[in-house]
Amino acid sequence: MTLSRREFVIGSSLTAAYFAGMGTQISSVAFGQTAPQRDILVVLFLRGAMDGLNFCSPVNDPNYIAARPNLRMRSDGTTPALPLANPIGNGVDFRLHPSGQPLLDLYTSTNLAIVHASGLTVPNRSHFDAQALMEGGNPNARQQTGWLTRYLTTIGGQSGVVPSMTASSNLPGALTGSGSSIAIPSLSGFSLPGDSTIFTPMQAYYTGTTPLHSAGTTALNALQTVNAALNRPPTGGTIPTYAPEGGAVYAQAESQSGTLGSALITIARIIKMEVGLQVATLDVGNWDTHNNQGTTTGTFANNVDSLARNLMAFHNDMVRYRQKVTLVVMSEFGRRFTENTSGGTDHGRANVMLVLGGNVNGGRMYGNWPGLAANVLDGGDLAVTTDYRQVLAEIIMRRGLNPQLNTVFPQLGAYQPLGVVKGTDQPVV
Amino acid sequence: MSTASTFSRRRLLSNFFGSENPPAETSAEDNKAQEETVATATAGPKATGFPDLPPIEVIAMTRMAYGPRPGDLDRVRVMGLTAYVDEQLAPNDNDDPDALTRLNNQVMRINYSADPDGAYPALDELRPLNTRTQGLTDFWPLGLQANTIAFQERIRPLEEIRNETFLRAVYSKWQLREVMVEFWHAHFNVDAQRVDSRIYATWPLYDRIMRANWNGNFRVFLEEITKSIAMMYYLNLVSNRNTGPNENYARELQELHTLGAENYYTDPNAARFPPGTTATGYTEADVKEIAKALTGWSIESGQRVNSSLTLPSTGLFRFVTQWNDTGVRKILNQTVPSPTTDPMSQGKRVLDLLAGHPNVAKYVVTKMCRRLIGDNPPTSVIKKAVAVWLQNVNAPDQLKKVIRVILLSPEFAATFGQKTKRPFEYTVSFLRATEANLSNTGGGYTYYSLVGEAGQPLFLWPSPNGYPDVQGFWLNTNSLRASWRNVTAALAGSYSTVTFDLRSKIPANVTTSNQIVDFFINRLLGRTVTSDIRTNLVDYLRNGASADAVPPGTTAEVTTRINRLVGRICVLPDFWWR
Repeated sequence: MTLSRREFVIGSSLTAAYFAGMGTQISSVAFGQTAPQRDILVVLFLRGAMDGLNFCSPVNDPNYIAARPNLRMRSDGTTPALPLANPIGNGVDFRLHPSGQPLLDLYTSTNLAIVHASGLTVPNRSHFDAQALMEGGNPNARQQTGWLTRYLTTIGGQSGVVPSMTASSNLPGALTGSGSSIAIPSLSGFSLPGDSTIFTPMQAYYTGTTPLHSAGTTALNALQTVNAALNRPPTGGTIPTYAPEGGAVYAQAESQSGTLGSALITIARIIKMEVGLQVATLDVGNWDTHNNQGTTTGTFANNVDSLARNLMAFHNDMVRYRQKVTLVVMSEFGRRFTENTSGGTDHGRANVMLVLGGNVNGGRMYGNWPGLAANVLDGGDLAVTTDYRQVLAEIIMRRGLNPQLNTVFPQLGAYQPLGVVKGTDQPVV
Repeated sequence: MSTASTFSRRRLLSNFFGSENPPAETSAEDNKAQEETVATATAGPKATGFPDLPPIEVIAMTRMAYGPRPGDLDRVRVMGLTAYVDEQLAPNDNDDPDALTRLNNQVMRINYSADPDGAYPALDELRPLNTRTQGLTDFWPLGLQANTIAFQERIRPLEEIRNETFLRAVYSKWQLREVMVEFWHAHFNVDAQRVDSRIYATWPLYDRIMRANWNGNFRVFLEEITKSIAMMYYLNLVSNRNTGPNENYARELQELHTLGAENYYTDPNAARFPPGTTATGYTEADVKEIAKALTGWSIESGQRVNSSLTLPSTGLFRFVTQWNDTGVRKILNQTVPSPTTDPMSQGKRVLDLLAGHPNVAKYVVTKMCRRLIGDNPPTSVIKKAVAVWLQNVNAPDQLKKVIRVILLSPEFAATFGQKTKRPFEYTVSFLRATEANLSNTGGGYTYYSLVGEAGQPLFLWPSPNGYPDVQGFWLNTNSLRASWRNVTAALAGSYSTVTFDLRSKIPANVTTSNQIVDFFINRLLGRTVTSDIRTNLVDYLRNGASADAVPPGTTAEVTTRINRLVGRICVLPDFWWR
């Protein structure tokens, strides 16, 4: 569907009318004049359990070498893994997967921090359970709402035009119970196509004060605002080709719906629209590498390559927003320490988290490395020494300016920031 | 209320009939439950845009059906609510011509490429809904990872049930059954797709449990659910053994299926009851003990029990004595003795205790009223339905009687607009009202992906609590936007498997813009709209000509305007209320 000149003019005039009528609401939301300067949180979930031990590998650990005779990263050979400055552990040669060069660059420029041996404090090797518990924000019990939902609720952040979104088709567990969250798997589909004349009458239909009318107005405003920023009417049409900033080159195009690159572009565009976004989530799958995981090439290497290039692109693209955006990468658990007989790894325990942004104390690893000796493994796998929630808690405290940790993370225990991000702590509520 | 005691009277009374009078101390769960009920209370009748009470046939067809198809409102008006309710409570499958024709003629594409190792060839075919006549022996092998089978074959049974569910909702005469089957699917929620391949491969069996028990006996229903493959794998009862009990099912059985979180005592000291009485609620100890009572309830899937016993892999329910913890235990303040003649007696006793429990009646009945009446159903109707529930604990038609008393209550007829449609209802009611033709040219995916985008993909709610049933959850940008889009895009012909012929439905004596608008308002809503909205609709259709003249323009132009007129009526707030 092409955008006719007539439709374009209608769209523009609607936009003008909208801003004239709703100016107060929009300016405060759009430009954050009254809201505190909290960061936008972007949560990237690696579904399926990423192999943290081959992502950020203790290549000189004899136990690692023994447990993964075929499936390990190396410090020698034609494609050695990439050495990391400021590692944790005592004399451990931690190296990044060789397909992760862009991540090493982000690490070296201190925009990226790596937390190792983190995860759920209660062992759980079911994808489904572990994701539900992790995204619920309490390893001890299922929650009826997601941790990001409670984060949003406690900052009163559900009032913007697009306060929270996921670039996936369905809301993740972390946003369960958040009625204001919007799934925007693609911006091109975020419209009401089929009847170019229906939008203005609909605005009139929803002028009542019931919750239905209010929600309808909110939805129509979001459609209008987001589509105005895309230079099209809310009833659809083509959207302008996106031009990333900062020399960013995403690994996939926006039109490749369902890819990490496309999802990050969607989020980047909405951040730049300045429509009150506080939280964005996205998922990337294909990490459940039970078979033929590969080492320096293959499934896992391709995943790392896409992740690394896309995070670098997002960071570059955010050149004007770097100080306002913090991105965290997490996965439900790590993989089995010992490789299996199918060229892969089964379900394990602790894993790596990544934190990326302009306010990250990057360039170093965080956490307490437990080692891989048999007597310190947890059920045969890397033990969890950092509650993943402590990393998230620090981010929401220091970057989200939200001290209500006991609500966001029930039964967290004492707040123990690792110092991954810049900012100040308030008394925990 | 013989279980009332001085120890817990405040808690008991407030939980039972006094939800308007919440206890002073409330747990987080209490607060959540109350939030659910007050979420909509802000929309009092004085809010602008709140609907007037429509005729009873509109209420009935909107809440005990997925909206009226043309003719339904007249039929219910003539036969009366009581006769309609009684008819709907006793469905006759052979008397369902529209749905049967659709189900028999439906084909749904299945296609996949060949197995790289040659285990199966590539396939691309239009296949009928064959699983309707299949059973466990057909389904079980599909779910086993040891069998090299295309994923599309493994999940086919689930996909067919999705398709059937949509077709039945749109075309079946037995609408109340469809509404209640959806209700019970949510009550006994299982994520059909993301937990275990054995769940989606056998999904028709789980759906059949809902269809067999929706108007039956709760105790029987509960045991069927407990023994089902889907629930067994979803909440880990299948691996609940005396050597390491898994409490997952025991917890949700109480929290979500029976007593409700409102009857959970976080503090065991607050849950002391006189000897011989049943506790009004449950504690962590009850979760642990119920898990133990249900040890050994499992599914035959080739497990090795001991050196001399390995179970066959059949998918059949199996009680494994060797895994059962036979210790005497106290559950809900009742002593549950060790098994004697019936080795499953402890688990059955748990289900008995729960199914006969007054607070279970109240919790489940309240949910039923929330579905059939409104988000904040009147206490008076809950009381009446609880009484019927408890009087019929052993009756084979217990749930039928409970549903009947709710639907024939004055509260049912006196309430409207306390709730909005969920995305599934909204889209289905649109397809019904517009007599959409869901074609069988191979799609099938289109119409349920319509609902999925709006946030309610069938059988995909991840948590055991089921799709929320309060409008506060659903009144959000994504659900509204995607639902509206289903209307506007479908009427514009965007989906090849969903077609309309609205113009041909207009009677010969309905010719002017005024008449056409009124015809469709009445047909789609069964009641009037505000004069502002009616004027807007007429102005659109008349396009500058007189409202008392035939709409101007070419046939194609008028057809488009009529389709869009119908779209405008369906995106009105009026079309969302229930």
